[in-house]
Amino acid sequence: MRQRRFIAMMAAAALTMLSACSLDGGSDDPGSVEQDADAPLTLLTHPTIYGALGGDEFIAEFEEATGISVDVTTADIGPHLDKLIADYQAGSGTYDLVALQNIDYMPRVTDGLLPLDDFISGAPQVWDWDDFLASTREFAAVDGTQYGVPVRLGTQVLYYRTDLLSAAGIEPPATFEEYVSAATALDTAEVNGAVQRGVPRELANDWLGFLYSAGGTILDDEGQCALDGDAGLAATDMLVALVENEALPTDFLAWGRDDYISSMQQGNAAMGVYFSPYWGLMANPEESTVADSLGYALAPVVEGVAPGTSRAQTWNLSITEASTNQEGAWEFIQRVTSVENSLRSATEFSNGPVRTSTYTEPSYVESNPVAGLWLESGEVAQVDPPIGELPEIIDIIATQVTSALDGSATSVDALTAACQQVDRVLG
Amino acid sequence: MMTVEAPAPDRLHEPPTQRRRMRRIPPWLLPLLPVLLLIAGLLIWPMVQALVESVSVDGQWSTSAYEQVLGDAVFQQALRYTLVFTAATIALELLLGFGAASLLDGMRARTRKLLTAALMLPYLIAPVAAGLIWRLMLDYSIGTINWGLGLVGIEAVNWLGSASPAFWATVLSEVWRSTPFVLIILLAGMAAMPTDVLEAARVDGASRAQVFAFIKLPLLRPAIAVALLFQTIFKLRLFELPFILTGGGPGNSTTPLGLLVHQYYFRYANTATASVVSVVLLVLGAVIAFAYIRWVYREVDA
Repeated sequence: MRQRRFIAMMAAAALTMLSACSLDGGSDDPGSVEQDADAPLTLLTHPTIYGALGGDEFIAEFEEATGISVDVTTADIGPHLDKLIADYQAGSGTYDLVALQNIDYMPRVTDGLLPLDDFISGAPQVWDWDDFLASTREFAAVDGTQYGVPVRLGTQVLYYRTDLLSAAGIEPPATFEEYVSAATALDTAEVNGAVQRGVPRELANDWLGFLYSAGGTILDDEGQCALDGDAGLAATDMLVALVENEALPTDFLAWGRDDYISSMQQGNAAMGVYFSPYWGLMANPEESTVADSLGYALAPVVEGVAPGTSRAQTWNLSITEASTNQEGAWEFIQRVTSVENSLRSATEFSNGPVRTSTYTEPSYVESNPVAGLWLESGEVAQVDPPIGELPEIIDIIATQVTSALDGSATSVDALTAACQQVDRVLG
Repeated sequence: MMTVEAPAPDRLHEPPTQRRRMRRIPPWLLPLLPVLLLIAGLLIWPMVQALVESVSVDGQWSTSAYEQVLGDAVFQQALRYTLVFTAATIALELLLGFGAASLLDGMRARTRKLLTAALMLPYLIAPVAAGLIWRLMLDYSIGTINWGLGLVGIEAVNWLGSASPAFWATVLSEVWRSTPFVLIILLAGMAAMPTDVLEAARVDGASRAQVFAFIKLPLLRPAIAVALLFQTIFKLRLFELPFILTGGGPGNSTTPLGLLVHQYYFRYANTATASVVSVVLLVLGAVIAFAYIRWVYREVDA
């Protein structure tokens, strides 16, 4: 009997552990929130964005100037949204300010954000909203309502080893075909011809850049899946060719952001297409063994597509509706995105500028070898549609493109399957 | 007309069955009631909530979330991965745990304590840290595993960048981390084994193999059942290790159901589908738990 009772109790305990997987989807509308101009602010941000905007240095200046203290919570991409959504669900109003990507402005996120139009129209002239690049302003607006103020613009550029390309007599590739043939030619036992991220979501993110570089879009004009068009095939076939020619690291499907950057820093890759804001990391002489021989060019495209067309991504600052100090939060945004701080964050912390005045500032142009390419690609770049189904679409792309890359499906079959799944998700 | 007044309620005159029922509420239960209510609120209520969420779409009762999830290739792959992973890891952990416990059980007390403490170390490491350690060890180019394989002339394995090796990478790292748990339970079971029974078997001329098969193993059955039960629950809830080690990839080849719950709920903001996966996990856990319990009870009763 004792054994029976003991085992039964163990079973009950174990089953209750499983219940931790159960979910409570309750949600409370924060409604109007009582305001306190002295209330401390809590900023939820990606660690890289925090550093790029001045980090602790800027926070100390802000606190001294305004008397408002700021707590900072950092989270990686993905977990940052998890935290925000969980906070919405709990109705606890933990965060006043949140750093969001342009693709984050989907209904379930904007539902808890404060429209900024009134703040922007009432902002002093010196802050100069018109100085922000038009494209970046649009990326943080939904149906004409501005939910974020851009703080960082990233596009994709080609990073390459000038010494290796010049030794091989190869020009920086401008088209997909040139990219594949250059990577194949440059691949050796010590150095990979090209580098590529392969962990599911990161692969899908990079693939979307190639899709845009091939002139494609995720959805067509009717809102149906367009991934299986010519552009999708060109993007997938280009990656398949790199795999077949053994120009990528053998285990690249396990590679993420850090693997990519360290590979470039350690001189283990001849080239790669990646986000422009990372040039500072790639070329950091303290971390890179090849900083002196790093070159930059516009991302390769399919012939006929505007040179440098790629995927843009912006980071923006938004204020939550649940904030108890919305004026203080707006003050924070104005100061961090001021003309002066924008220039400082670009020159001192390698941030991707969002203001025209920064791009045209001689001291910045002199210090950033990518500045011109950045602006050029920013003007023609595409962004993902801010639709709620985007995360599912990205996961579908990841699975199906992986199946093409590991040889378990052809490019055509993989993309056809992707579109079937995407259209089902879109209903 | 004569009327008969009903007797006043009196405990002595209550029907016997009712009295027995009253007596069945043990007095020690009363002080536990607040705790039980708390448990009901914190554990049972979310379970009920998950069930309700899984069958409600836009405020209407519907099984569409079940149809959507059960027909989804990603869910099917995650279910397959979770079940095969659970079976593979538990089989290996039981084998290794049993072997290690048998060895330790035969050692002197001081040595046994020292070795047991040392062998417990992997279990004390957080799954996230374990994932990072194994990620480095399994790295294709600089990992110590491939380096070791190279020493004995075996070609480097693409552990994390190819579906089949990635599965075994997750199994290997989980077995390394969790075997100590099985070991400690089996060791406790062996320590509690009545020595007189073992002595009697030896006096009766039973061989070592016979003692193991007919005495030790049946006596260890409850401990094995407890280890199986807990490990099954832990494996079904798997999340951190593949999240860190493979990111659920390549593709979605190492995505367990636990990761899928997170994906549905946080990435897709779909409470209904996330709840469906939670319910599937709960049902799986319950079915397996009851199967284990029946197995042990049958033996105990026999």
